[in-house]
Amino acid sequence: MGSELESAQMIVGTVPESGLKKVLDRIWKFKLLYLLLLPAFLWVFIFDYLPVFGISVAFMDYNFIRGISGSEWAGLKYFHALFESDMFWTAFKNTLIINLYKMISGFICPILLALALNEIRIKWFKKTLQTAVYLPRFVSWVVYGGIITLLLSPETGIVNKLIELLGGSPAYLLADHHYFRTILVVTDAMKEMGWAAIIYIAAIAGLNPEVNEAAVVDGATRFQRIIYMTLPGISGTIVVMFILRVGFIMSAGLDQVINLYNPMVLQVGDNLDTYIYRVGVEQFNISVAAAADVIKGIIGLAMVVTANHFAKRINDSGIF
Amino acid sequence: MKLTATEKLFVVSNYILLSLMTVVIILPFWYVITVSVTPYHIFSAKNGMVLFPASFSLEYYKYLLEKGSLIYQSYGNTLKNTVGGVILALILTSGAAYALAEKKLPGRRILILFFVFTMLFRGGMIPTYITIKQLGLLNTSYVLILVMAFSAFYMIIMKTFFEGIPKSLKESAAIDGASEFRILWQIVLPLSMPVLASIGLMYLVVYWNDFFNAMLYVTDWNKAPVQLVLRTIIASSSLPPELLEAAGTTPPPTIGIQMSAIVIVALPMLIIYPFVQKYFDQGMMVGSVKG
Repeated sequence: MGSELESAQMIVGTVPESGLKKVLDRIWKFKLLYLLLLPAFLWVFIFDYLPVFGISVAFMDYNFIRGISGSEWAGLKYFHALFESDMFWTAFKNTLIINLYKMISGFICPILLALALNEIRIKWFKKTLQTAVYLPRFVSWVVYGGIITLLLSPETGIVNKLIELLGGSPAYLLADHHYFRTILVVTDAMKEMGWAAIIYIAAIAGLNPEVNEAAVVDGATRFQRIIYMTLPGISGTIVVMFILRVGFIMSAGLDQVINLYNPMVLQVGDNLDTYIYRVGVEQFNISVAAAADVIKGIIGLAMVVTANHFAKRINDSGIF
Repeated sequence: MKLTATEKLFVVSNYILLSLMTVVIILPFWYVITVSVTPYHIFSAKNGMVLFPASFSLEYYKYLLEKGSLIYQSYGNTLKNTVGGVILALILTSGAAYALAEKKLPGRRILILFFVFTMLFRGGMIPTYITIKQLGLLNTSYVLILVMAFSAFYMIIMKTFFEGIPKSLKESAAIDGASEFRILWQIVLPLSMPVLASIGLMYLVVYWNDFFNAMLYVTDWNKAPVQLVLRTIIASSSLPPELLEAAGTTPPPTIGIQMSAIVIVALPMLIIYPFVQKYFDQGMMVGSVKG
């Protein structure tokens, strides 16, 4: 019995020790890989995770000079202030509206473009088109915004000349709140559509050509093949892109709007990003802006999680 | 393959529509270049309809490059940020991607989650600003290199590519006594040129085109990148005096200055892009196989 107890003790006593040692040994075996990972790990910790803790300034009377540790807690004061602010609700509403429009144009256009490009059989022609439509993606919104401003200028802009030629009267399009959101949506599509189509083009290229050939033999028309073969074939990619896009529902395109908007169209163009920038950086209301940041982040996260959940239930292709 | 009448119509209209769309996308760029080389009296005489340059002049460029000393300086800043940034970004991204591509790495799942979470939730503009400030990075010359140096999204794409490299290659190198560093440097990275090139170029575009981080974190004009200077030139209806060495001379009409400034800032990207486009295609193919 004594020896049994002894051996039991030995098992109890030594197994965890050797287990731990085994784990440490295994980790040690991969030490160089961890070393390779370390710089990125530190970067993400410093520039992505520390700001998450920095969210605390939304709950403080943040004092810029004294910093986080020197500021007093303020509870939900700044959230209440936001909810009572008309400007915040305007920005909130505009974000959703602009995004909804962009969702329709900026999400569907690239898919259509990829499908259309796939039907082009002349190789050099296809390559040329692709090169051309990706191009705007490679300039900044400062550059593209400058170009758009030139095109739409009331006196010299070529778009106004066209409107005149067609019998309309010229207008200061960028300063007109009737047109501003349309301009945002159209220019966004013009700049990003080609690039956004790349991922679908790649997905179509990955489809099994034999299925398509079989359909040709069976007498399916081009249109039928697009609807019943190609489109379902890339539906997984479409779902993933949709979920990723839904995560940006609270971002209306900061770079774009900040380079195109002006005080005349603030009512329709101001969105959460520009609101946060104006209130936080220009007016120095750090805590109010941070509170808006928190709301923006939480809604975005909730939207991705929800979209992912439904995507999984519907066709089993979520992103996590 | 024989086409029915409807299919013929479909194919023809497809060609026409795509060509039209391409023209609409490219024309603005052409127009900007034309305006930037057209003398102002011709531009205004033609009411801005100068799709084809009737007369050619480089006066705007001459003025900008002679008088705008800040153009050179900010161009230098952009070059420095871009070169340093892309190198740093590739080191961070490929290191993490290589480590996480090893399926046996203990803690791999948690580490991947650690990175992927940043794609779903971020602190936001203001908390990030506060962090940068508390780190003492505001208005330093490397803040614009550091803040954009890593993207979890690109890391995942690269990791997917590394996972596709045959294991036996790495194993045989390991048997020959090569360390992980050597395997990465001499075997994996040379095999990964398409993905390295495409992701490197994506970082390059981010760095070259950044103006917003500069707006947030840099107040010293001596550290401003060229996009920020361009933004000032476009936003102000006249040239800001701080951009000019000799503000006393009468500047030429603003519109030409603005357009030539746009060309000067955008040109490097537009020139290199067609040559490297094939890498983008290859790189994105890799990423799309499994997001």
